[in-house]
Amino acid sequence: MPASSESFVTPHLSAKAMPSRPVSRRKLLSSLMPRNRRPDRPGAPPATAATPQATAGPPGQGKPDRWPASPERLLVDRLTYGYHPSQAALAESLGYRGYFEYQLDYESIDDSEIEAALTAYVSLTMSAAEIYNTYWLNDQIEIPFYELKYAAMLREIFSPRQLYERMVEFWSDHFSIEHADDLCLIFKTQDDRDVIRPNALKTFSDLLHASAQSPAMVQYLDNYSNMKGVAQENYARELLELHTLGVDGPYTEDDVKEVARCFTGWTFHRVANLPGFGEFYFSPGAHDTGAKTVLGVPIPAGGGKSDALAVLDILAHHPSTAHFIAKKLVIRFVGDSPPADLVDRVAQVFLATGGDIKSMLREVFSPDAPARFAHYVRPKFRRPMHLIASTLRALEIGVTDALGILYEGILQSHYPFGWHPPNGYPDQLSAWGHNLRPRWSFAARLLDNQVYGTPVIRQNIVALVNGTGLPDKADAINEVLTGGQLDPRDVQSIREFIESAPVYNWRILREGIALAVSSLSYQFH
Amino acid sequence: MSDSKKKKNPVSRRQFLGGTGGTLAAIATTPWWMRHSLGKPRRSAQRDVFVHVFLRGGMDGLTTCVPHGDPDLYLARPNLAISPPGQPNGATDLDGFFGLPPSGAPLLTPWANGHLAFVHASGSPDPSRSHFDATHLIEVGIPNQPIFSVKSGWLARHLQTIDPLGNGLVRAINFGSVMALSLAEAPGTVSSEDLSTFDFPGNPVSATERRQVIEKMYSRSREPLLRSSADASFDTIDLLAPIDYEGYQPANGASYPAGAVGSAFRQTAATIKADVGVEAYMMEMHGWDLHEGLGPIDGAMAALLTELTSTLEAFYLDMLADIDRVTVLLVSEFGRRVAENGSEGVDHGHGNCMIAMGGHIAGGQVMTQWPGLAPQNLDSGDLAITIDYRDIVAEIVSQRLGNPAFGTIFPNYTPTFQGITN
Repeated sequence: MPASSESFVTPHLSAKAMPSRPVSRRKLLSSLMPRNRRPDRPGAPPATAATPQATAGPPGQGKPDRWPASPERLLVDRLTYGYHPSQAALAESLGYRGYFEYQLDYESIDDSEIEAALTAYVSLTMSAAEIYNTYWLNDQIEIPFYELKYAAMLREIFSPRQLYERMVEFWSDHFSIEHADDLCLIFKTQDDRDVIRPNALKTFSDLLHASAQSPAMVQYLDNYSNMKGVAQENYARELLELHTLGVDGPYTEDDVKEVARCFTGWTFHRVANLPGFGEFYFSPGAHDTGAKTVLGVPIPAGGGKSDALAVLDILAHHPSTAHFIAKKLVIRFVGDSPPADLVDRVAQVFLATGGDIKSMLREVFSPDAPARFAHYVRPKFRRPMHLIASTLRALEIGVTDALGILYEGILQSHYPFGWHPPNGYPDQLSAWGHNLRPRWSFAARLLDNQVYGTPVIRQNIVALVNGTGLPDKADAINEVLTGGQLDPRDVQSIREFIESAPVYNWRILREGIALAVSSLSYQFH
Repeated sequence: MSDSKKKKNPVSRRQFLGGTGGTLAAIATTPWWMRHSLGKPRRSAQRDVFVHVFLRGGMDGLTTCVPHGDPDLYLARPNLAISPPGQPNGATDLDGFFGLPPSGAPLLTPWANGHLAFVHASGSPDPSRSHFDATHLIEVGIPNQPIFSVKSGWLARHLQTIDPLGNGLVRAINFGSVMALSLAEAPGTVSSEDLSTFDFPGNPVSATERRQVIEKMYSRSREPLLRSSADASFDTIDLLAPIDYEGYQPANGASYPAGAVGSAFRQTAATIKADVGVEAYMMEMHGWDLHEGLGPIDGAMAALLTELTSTLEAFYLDMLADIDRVTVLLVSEFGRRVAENGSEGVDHGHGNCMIAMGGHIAGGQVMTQWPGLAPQNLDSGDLAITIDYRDIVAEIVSQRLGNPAFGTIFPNYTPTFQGITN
């Protein structure tokens, strides 16, 4: 529990979401933001960018100050966890396709700085057996539990592989596993490292096969207890409903039962002190070898592990799966009301490429995408962790202890691997838009240095604001946070707040910034 | 400063901003504290405060309210059924046929006073055994519809179709960060994990000015959800400011268990007693999806039931003086399969029991048309449904919440009142 903030986490919140023991504090990750690494800034903001063009837009969606922003600039909002001038400048210099392909080719982006910092979290590279021996046996399982969450948050904020990290989050939501569920405390680390992250931009089939054999998933959806004669259909049902075909998909209750039979015997080594603990294996003795029929496809008697592999192949290439995945991708990256034609096109790409994720993203961001951006300046409501990441990125606030931002996420029920049911965190405004006050609270407390582990250094913030060269402080705040993309009416309201103060001082500046972070237009990206 | 210190510096005045809606406009220029007294809630014996709990994951009704008089229970669940009364860890008999598990004992308090009823073999007629389908259809209140064809929740439609009980500013509170679907599109509704910290954040010196800025910004949203959400946030900040949650002392020695559900009920009780006009409270409890290791005596199910039933007993005792104007209703998306599976758990099922509690609930009974647990009487292996949950909800809405518009709340369904209220 952060010593400095006596009561911002109530006992029931921490009791619900956390192991009971407090985690030891980590002070290893000091300011991670690559402050001096901005590329030359060909697209640097013009010195006077502040001519509000009060374009008559729909409420809350007024055109930003420097409209039209370039497609490259808008692409940064779509692909990343939030504006930073280094990414904006890079996008302007590489061009729309160039920046998109740059982010897509994530392995070519040097992320050694953040990854080097994360080596402090030694559990990230451990096997299940090592985590068991090092932490579980010593009653310290909260350490790997926290370290994995910290790593996920810090990568979102600080990794230059921004699109990749967003896809990691997308698949972590899609193949959602509640971290606190029993042995998932141990296994989610390897699920994140060996299942989600290596496959986040490969093919859907790769991901699906890896997930089906992930001990964390086998544990979370109980398939380890799915055995011949006593089929346990939890995984089978969610595989069809949530991972592949979608709830409206063409399957029946009988298909659920047949798929469960196909997966009998898929388990993992459960005995902690034997070699191979936490590794997937197929148990032939527990497998139902009878004939099955899944989605009308006969699976002959006498099969073994191949039964479930056949099911996965059917599902991974099914048109309903293609449509379901395409729709979720478009909702995530384009908007809550996905254009049907775009979903269809992305689904076609899925089927034509065997579920190649990069190809699907290329279709989402195809050359006609900028035209769509013109109509939807800020189509997506930032989810809580996204808001936190964007704010820290733009204000270049370092993280000395990620516990503080984890608590901020908990206060808003959004933090890595914390969603209880297997459908993953929701993605749309309708789910998140009812809880505004914690956003305003986060902004106010962050700038007032009350969010643990995220020191706000006055000189740095003042330097950022003054560094814009904009004489008007509201314009300068807008420039720092978004590169000038807030709704001009929001900026005007902040301007009036600043100007109405008897004196301009640090408190007024930080409150002005907090108001900008709290503003309506900043809730969207 | 910390959120918890708000009581000393409540932002007690809400500056009106144009364009936030017609009905608010008339009263909003009035200072908040005057508005509140002008809009003194009507105390009507015919309008209860409604507390709704969704038990997420599929609560096992055959453990919660044990049909110990049905011998087929013990054939289907040789290892998991609660034993008949009189045996070790056996049920406490309720009516000669049903009983409470040991972990359900706290419910005997309201039961004995005739203020708590079970409705067994009830549920949604939709055949889905999917959590998300079944939950969705119960919460939107329209079974057998293509999913996502209806956007509003049934509780939201109730609030839409009846005059506010109080001043109408904050009509419902959802405990949680993500709005429950039952309240989707509800007027004047706010979500919060914790009402005790529901203040306007930041330095009090500038709170009035900063609040004006934020109110103005959100009043411009083209999303009705965000306009109403911001309004409800500020109204709730004002409404709750005088309530001292941390110092709240429950009546009658009631003691709420630790945990999110206990806290939500405790804060609900404090808010109801403050008489600020909130009509509905929605909360949820997770963890009931016990495919593996049901643990009806000393495992997961027993722990959940202990937490839940202790909370209900505490709330009942705490609210005893006001129990005639409170109705509590607990539902889950479905019951669980009658037969146990190979991992000492139970898979998704169908029929289930609902729990209703309140001063005008016809309590002390297990209301049911019991279909029996013999294999030939099951619905695909599951407890059959003989009472549509909408019969129960519609009766409560009509008789206790004063809203006859259940045709709008549950379209295309003519409910049969079962006598759950009196």
